[in-house]
Amino acid sequence: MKKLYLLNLKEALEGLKNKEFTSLELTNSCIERIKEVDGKVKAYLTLNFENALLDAKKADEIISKKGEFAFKDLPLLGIPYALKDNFSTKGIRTTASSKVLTDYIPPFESTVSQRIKEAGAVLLGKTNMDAFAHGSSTETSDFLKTANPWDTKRVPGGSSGGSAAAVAANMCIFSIGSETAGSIRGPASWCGVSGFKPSYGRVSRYGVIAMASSTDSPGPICKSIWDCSYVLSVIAGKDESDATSVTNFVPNYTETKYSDLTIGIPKSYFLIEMDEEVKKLTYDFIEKLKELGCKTKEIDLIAPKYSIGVYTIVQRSEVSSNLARLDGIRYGLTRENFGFEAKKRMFLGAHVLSSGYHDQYYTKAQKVRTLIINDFEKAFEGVDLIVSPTMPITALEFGEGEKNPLFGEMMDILHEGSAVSGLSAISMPIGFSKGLPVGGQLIAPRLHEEKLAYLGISYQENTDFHKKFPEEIK
Amino acid sequence: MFTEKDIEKLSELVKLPISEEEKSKLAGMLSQTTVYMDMLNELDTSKVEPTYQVTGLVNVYQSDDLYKTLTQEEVLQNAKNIKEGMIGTSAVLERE
Repeated sequence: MKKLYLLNLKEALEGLKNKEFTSLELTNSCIERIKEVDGKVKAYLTLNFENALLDAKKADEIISKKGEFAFKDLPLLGIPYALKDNFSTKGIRTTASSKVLTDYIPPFESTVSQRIKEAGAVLLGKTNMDAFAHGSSTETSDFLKTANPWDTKRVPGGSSGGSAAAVAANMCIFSIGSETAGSIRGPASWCGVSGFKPSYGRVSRYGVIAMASSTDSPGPICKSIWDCSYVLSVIAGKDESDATSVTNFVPNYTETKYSDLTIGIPKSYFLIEMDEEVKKLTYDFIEKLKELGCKTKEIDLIAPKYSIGVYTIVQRSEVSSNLARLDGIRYGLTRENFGFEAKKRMFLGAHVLSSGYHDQYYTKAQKVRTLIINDFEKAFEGVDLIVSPTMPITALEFGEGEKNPLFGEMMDILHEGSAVSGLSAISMPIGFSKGLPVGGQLIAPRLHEEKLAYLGISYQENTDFHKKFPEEIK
Repeated sequence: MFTEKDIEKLSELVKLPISEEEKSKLAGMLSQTTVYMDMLNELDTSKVEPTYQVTGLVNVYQSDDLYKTLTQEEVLQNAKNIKEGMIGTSAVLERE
């Protein structure tokens, strides 16, 4: 039998249900793996091994008593997972990778981690990220430089880089990240794993250290889209503690079926500067979708360069408001502990919100946001989903991001339009370029995650890119 | 374009002290950023309403019986300066 840490979520659940191994064995296997390779990858900021082993033992007791029926009420029973460090965990240090929160111990639990806990999962630790999720490489973390498990000279992408790297290096069975524009899709793509960015409002933001409140969307990063869809079914749904969470019914995302899907190919998304190999693999991806029975159609969407401006203005404004609460009085350290990236964002946010610039920038951006939303709505009248590469290039080496003040925004150019519109999207591995993983993204209309789940699962049933992991981490 | 004077003003607005070196770096970087922000003027929005949030939800209330709260101990657990069960801050007003 293969090593337990190599299992994906679906396989791990089967094994636990069939009593092929215990949660304690599975958890210990992940812990041994973390001890073996995290010195090189540096995905975890805070480890929770002691509690994890206790929780695994408890899970085993339930499984031995109730057998596979236990999983009906506890769908993640005994499964070890990794959580991005911007999710508040009661009694466990939560820093969002910023020095400002270096000693912060939340007195309450985020809804996402609470739901996962109530589903029986075992928390292995908290993962590194760009500080306050500001970035697309995880290099702005004040604590660690997480490496890409495929090539440790390269970045994992960000901001959920620690979560994606932990999955790619098999240091957990699944992980949770969060996305404002690209922070799930980007690192999933660069680390060769699957990521699911739900629609805004689909998953509660309660207890997530806020970045941009009008687009923040927590979601899973896993070893397959089936795994992501399964986790999404656990964490999605109305939460009384988040007024922006929506009441729409949450289906079982792993069991949806569609036929005759039409996929839109947005011409403008393929006109941006991108790696030729990434483009070629995306066309191969589209061919595969056709083989699976999808029709395709070229569509017009507003050039993604405009989304950069909209997203930059909206996000910086919301960042400057959200980080204003960090005054070092009730919790955390004082404001001079902010890193340069956070400062840069708050300065620009304060500028576009200040009198004299508010209409010129802030209101203008929110109007163009309406244009982008209407543009997607029109496109979705003729197609079910939209396809594009996830990232224009493969993972960069350390240090490249610092050269451009809009590095993150440029890397996330194919995510910003859907992010400011609150749409859902997935990224999954579609091939390799010079040994580095390439991701393809599918975008769905708001609250139509089930279409993404269906097509992502079908694609992975017929391909094996998602089954590839770095053989040796060096 | 951002001058170092603009940066000083913003520093005061966001209550973030910055060094001389950061001041010139920020002025340069923020000026570069405005290229993408100004690009939005190429699009006609004269007949468009702004979108501040995408859910369309309005007047969402929390039900009273689900109200969650923290104990005083929990609220104070991360504060650095606690006096008589309260959080101490520096004085805002000078005593006459």
